[in-house]
Amino acid sequence: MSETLFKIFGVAVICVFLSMILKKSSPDASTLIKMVAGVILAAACVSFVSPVVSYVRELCGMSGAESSVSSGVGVLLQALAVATLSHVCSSICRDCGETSLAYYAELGGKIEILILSLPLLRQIVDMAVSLCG
Amino acid sequence: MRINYVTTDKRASRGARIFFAALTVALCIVFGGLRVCASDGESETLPPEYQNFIGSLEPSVTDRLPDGVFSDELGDINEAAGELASPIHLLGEVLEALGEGMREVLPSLALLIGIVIISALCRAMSSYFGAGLGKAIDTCARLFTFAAIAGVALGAVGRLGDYFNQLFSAVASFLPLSATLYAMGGNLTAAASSTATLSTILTICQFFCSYTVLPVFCICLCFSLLSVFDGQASMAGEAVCGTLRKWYMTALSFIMMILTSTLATQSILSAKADRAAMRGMKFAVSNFVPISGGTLSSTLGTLAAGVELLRGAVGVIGIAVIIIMLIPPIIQLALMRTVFGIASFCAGMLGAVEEQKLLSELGSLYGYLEGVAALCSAIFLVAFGIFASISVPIA
Repeated sequence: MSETLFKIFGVAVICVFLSMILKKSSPDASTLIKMVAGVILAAACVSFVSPVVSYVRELCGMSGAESSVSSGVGVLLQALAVATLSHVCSSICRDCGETSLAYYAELGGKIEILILSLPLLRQIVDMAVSLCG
Repeated sequence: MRINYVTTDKRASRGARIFFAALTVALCIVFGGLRVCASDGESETLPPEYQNFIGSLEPSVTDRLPDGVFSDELGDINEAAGELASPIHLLGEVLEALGEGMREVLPSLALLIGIVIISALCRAMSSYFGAGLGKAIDTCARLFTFAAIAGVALGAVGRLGDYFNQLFSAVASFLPLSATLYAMGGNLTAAASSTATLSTILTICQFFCSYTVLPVFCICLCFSLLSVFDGQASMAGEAVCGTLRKWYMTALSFIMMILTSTLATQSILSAKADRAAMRGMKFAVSNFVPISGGTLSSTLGTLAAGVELLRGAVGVIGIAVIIIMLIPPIIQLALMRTVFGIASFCAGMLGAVEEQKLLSELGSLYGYLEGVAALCSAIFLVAFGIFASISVPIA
């Protein structure tokens, strides 16, 4: 764990220095380095957090939680992943000075999260209909 | 040759006397061997409605009854009734239901705490994503909390519905038995009035439990769940829920009080009328019927003792059956109320204010369900008690 963390820190610091150095002479290369670093660091964070996600799934299976609750936890984890990716993408766009693109990236992320929440909403509506019936 | 007719006649009459004497002795030997016992109540024939009543009970109830309840002998039934009425037996039922209830609700407690933790974590993480994405994550987390907690809350309500179905089925099968036992003891007026009143009470309770209890619970649940989405709406929701529950319980208590007092007064007045009528009949029988009038009167007294014993035993068994059916759902509702209270406390510790309000409100809803179950059961307990205590007028 500590090795991966230090690697992430190291890559981030190195990319910041490279970006600062190349900013004046070659702004395009600086932007490219920032984008590549952002993608690499995001991928590293996802792999860093995957043991946590698998352990949460294992806990849901061990506790015998109802399928609706387990699926709800799965939806939450997916929503968090979509939000993280959208945030990374919008941050890269803002760093490149493209605020409007950042907004659309976030908008796409929000819509995707709402789509992922639809099964939960359907579950609530079904519950309400069964109570009324 | 002269025939001695006198001698022949004497022999014939002597033979006849011997014959009749021998016949008398033989008859005495035959009939003296038969058992002649006065009716002591133990040889009373049980009405078939009793077996119908016992047969209508669910296996989960009959498994908890002593074997004497299923017997055809009044002595065994009386003994079983005595066993059911003992405080030790009732305490054992309560402890057993408590153990089963704990096994059922502890997973729900763990689930609720897990839901609260996950929801609190997600909503804390949503602040890292900025305004738009954070709001989307927050909404998703609220929907998850809403659906999961409502699912846990509604799971325990289904058991209460099963209890009401069992209770109404048992009381419906008891109606013909009560009419028969009233009639056996000479309470003809009480048989008619009590059966009609109890049938009306049963219909009213079925209406309330089928058409009002669950809708009121759902309305209060919806207002409680609003607190997850809107903190300001939750304040209005709490006021509406509290008022609705108070008015509903007041109305239900008033109606049950009216019905109980009607049943009690009708039963008592009918019993008095039957007793007056029977006294007149017994006086006429014992004084105007020659020779056997007094015997008939004392025979009626013996019969009355048996009927009174049977009626008392059936009444006690009916009360015990209702209590055995009532204990598990009441204990489970009380345990679920405690579970929601503990989960609410945990949510408060984690800083999940909306979840804390929701869980606290749901806990109070279980109190409302406990009150409804207790009220509906109390009226039938009183009915069985009145049935068991009304005296037999032919005594």
